[in-house]
Amino acid sequence: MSAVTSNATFTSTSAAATALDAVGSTAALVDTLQNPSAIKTMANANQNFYELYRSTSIGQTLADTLDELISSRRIEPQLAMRVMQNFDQNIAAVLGEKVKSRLNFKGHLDTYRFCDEVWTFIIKDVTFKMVDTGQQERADRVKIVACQSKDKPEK
Amino acid sequence: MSNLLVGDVYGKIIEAVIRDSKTEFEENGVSTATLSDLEKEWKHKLSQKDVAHMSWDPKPVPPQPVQQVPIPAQSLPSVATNHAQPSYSTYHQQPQPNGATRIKVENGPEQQYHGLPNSYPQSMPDGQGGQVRAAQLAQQYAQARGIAGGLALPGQRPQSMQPQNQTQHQAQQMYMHQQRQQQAALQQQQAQPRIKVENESPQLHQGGFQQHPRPPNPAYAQTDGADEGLEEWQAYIANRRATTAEQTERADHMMRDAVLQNSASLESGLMMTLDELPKGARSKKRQGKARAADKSVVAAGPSIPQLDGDYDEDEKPIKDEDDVDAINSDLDSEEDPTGDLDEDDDDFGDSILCTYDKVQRVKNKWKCVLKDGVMSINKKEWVFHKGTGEFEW
Repeated sequence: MSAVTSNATFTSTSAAATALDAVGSTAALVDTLQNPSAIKTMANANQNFYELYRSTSIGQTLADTLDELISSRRIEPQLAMRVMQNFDQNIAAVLGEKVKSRLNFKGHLDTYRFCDEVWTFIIKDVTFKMVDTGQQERADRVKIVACQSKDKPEK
Repeated sequence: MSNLLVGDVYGKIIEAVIRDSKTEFEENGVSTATLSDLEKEWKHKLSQKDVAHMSWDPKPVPPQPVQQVPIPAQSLPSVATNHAQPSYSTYHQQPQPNGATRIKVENGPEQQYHGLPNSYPQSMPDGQGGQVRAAQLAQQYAQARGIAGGLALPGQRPQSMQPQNQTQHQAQQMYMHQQRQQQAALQQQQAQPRIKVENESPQLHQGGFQQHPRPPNPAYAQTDGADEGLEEWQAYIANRRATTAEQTERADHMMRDAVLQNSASLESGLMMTLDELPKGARSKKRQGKARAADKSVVAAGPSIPQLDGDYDEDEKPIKDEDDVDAINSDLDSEEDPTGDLDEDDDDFGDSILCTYDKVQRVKNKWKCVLKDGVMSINKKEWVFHKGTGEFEW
């Protein structure tokens, strides 16, 4: 797995899936919201950042906006890919440095999956509690997609 | 943690991305105006999603342009209906908020990407004065509003189209063609500014269109030479939107097949008569793909991995809920629970995207420590630095 990620210059999920399949991994089975966004992407300075957050609303709006600019020929697709990579890098940085809030949640685990170091949970009847504000939220069904934390050694 | 905090966080993310992308834009020779438009449009789309109160959020502002702009837009077709196409008036009747494509269509006969605005007054001076006046009206309105948004024509287009002198029928045909293309490619936001830009662009082509935003023109993509980068991007976008269904379906099939195989190996055909075994195996196994394989195996011998040796002995009664004679057991998974994930969408699929520090399990009690997550719950978004989950399976 380390060999796969170390030489990864994946900029498209299909290419990533193909490369991983070539080494016999089961990356194609990674089930995320939109795509196997657990595939790492090369950013500048030889750092890998998850494409995980591209499935968020902020990531999707950025992709849609870039798509519009490409359609109108105002920017090149390569530039758009670079912007997305910048997004991957910056959202991870901001979430890690600027956000301090904590969360507790409980529920019933309906489904779990661990593939290519990506955990996918389906939780039913979840109750969220924000530690800072004491605010509570409830949801009937939540899907959690979690990649390995950068703090942990990946190899 | 609250939506207000989310708005601040998103604002910081946008600022950081724009800042880091600035050098990339400069290296690629793209103007900073495009970068500003990117930022503006990004924020606008986020505000429209209404998942949190954004730091820049001018929530009441976006609807205003939609309400005010249609008024002059509606006046334009009335002037130009003498030469309007039937579909033109049809589109005009459609509700304004539905998107730029509708409104753009209304101005289509007057302003087209292919330089028609330039050619219209030139080639058809007789009865087209009304359209020209309508175009000028729209331009004046746009200038008065100072709208600078929207997307502009690429520079090449107007230059290449100016020499053309199209007849009215040709223009209409091209207009119809562009209509369809525009509808496929354009988004809903900034419909009116785009229209105004289009009205402006023919006037300003010669005078430095680069300074003005250019309306989107998906038709250009067809006439330009092949762009590998564009194809790559479109492929990426298509993959993003199509991969989930494909992979989930594949995963479902693989999991189902694996379960069926395991259960079939357990059964070993004990509960089915020998007469039924071949039929059950061929009709239910692998849902068609294996049928061909099985048939070929029957003819050629046991060369398929699924069938070891004599298929009569090793053939398994494939369980199928639809088959009356099928043997169902508790081990069967009726349906892949993750198949429900296909229904998840941004709007009503609650999700958390994060990283994990630790996931542990004791019997059926699971505990996980999550980090740096973005949550979408009940159509609202939240962010957290650290989350702790406890659930039972």
